[in-house]
Amino acid sequence: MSLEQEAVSRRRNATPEAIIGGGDGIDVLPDEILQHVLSFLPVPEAVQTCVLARRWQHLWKSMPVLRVTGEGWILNRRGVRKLNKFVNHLLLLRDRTAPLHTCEVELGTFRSQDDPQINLWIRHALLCQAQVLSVHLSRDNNSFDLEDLPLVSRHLTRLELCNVMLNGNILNFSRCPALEELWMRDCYIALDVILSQSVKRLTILDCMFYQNARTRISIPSLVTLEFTECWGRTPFLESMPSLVTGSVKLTNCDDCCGKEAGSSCFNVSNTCENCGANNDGNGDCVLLNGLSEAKSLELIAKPGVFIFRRDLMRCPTFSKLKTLLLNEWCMKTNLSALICLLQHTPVLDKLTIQLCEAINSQMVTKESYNPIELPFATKKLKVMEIKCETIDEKVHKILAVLDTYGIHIGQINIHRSIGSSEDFFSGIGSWTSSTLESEQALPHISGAGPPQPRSQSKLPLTERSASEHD
Amino acid sequence: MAAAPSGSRTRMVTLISKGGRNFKMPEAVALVSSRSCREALDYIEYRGNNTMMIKLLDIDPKPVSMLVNFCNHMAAAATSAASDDAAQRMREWEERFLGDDVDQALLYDLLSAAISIQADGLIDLVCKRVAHMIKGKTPQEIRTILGIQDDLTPDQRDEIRTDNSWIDI
Repeated sequence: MSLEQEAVSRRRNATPEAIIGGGDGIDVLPDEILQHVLSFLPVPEAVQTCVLARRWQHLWKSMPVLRVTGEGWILNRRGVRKLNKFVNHLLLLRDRTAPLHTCEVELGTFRSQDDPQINLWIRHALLCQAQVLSVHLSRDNNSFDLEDLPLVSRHLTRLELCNVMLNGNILNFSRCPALEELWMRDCYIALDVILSQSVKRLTILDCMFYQNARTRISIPSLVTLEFTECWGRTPFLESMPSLVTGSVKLTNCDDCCGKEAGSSCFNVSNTCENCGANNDGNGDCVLLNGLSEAKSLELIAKPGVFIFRRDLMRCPTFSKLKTLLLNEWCMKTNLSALICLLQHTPVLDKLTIQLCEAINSQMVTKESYNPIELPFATKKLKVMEIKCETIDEKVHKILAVLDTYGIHIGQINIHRSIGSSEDFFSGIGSWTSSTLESEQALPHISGAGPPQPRSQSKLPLTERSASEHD
Repeated sequence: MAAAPSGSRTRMVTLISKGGRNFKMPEAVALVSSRSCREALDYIEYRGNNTMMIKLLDIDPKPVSMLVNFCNHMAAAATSAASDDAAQRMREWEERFLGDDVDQALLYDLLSAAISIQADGLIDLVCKRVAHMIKGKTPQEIRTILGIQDDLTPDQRDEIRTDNSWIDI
């Protein structure tokens, strides 16, 4: 059937009742659309449409989308009991042959010894072939446990969890072969492993990880990873051969040591993994190995976090990496971390370094450096970007060191931020930029004496200002 | 899906409304907005520069034109960066798009047009608007707003209430 014939038949064939009913009210629309409208109402009101007319009597029973929301109310004991009674009746009395496509539970604060029976509703939704499941609780209820049994479903494709406690085997998705997207925010994750053979997109935001041992993330099918501002011990990433994009922002984690920030170790009881002989036991990379197949990476760490630098001691080769974004952590000890990464990224095209003035300037030491012969293939970067608040000695140092190692850079963009350092970590703020075009390596900049101001370079300088943060 | 041959002008998709009026949008826009177009184009091996024509001959020109307008706007919004500002601007645009001059008949025609090409974004928007119109209203008010004929006998209504005594009707 051609597209045009299909379009016409889809509308005509769908509404036998409409032809009987007549009129130009909403009855011209097919059942699925009326049910789509109902899915945007609070569920009790959707059920109440059963008294509108004959056609509406049973529509609610096969609604494919269920949104159980607390509508922002704080539920007391009576409220929780009422909610449980309502949802349990709803699930029992709806048409069991009508598959459920989406089930969303979004509840505000509940102050009650009786819990909403969320675990039961989740399992029922999965039995009804739900493809999308979402549980959002409020921060005040951050001790609500999801039942620690694995989920079982051939249909589940997306799971969203916010403000729940996760223990035991709940994140073992070996019996959810269709699951592609896992999104978690503000959860407490106290389990050994997050396991899936099918998930392609993993997003973990602001979660708290178990503090006594590292959680393992074993998702070999992963394509996109976002891991931002989590607490507790950074999880261990197992190999991810299909990974394309990874963004890891370590700001609040427990893997922190004062020595990284230029002072002394503040970890108690000599258990610091950065100092002394203590380590995880297997001595593997926590993050970088798992990220080594990516084409594009953002690796951001606040001062004191030692994970990236420690991983570099066993740095893998990033054989597909084309785009890399780093912040100050790569500048420690005369940019040795940056150089190490450049040695292990054979096809890198674009390197971006974000600098923030408020970061302790001890990050950049004043030792002189000795350029040594390195087994570098002739390294070429197409684009190098530096985002900073002021063009200070850190910027010059980066360019000087890269030049010393003979790294050829096609184009250098320098973006100056007008935001504050806090804005930087939260990703807002705006930038002005200047661009240097260059076909050959930069002229050598002497390490002794004051840095040369940019305008004295022989290269043309164009100022460009961007009003939007890019 | 075949790539556009180099040097060709932008390929278009044309919707034809009642009265034979044509409304065009670029193929890239149609791909983003319409599931039907995505599926159809998957099956077509080579189109050259031909325009895909979709006949919506029983829908008035105004809703079809609004549909094309919506698709163009959504495709443009999708390319710019997401931010709270952008989300706010989108909400304001949606308010104006389904403004006071859009009566119910137009709303349902617009929905019919969106259903025809499976433009999920517009289907969601109109359904949310209809839900908003009836939220918190009594059954009689809802019947009036949506133009529903009450064809239940009192006995039937009582029976429904008894069956569903677990909610307040």
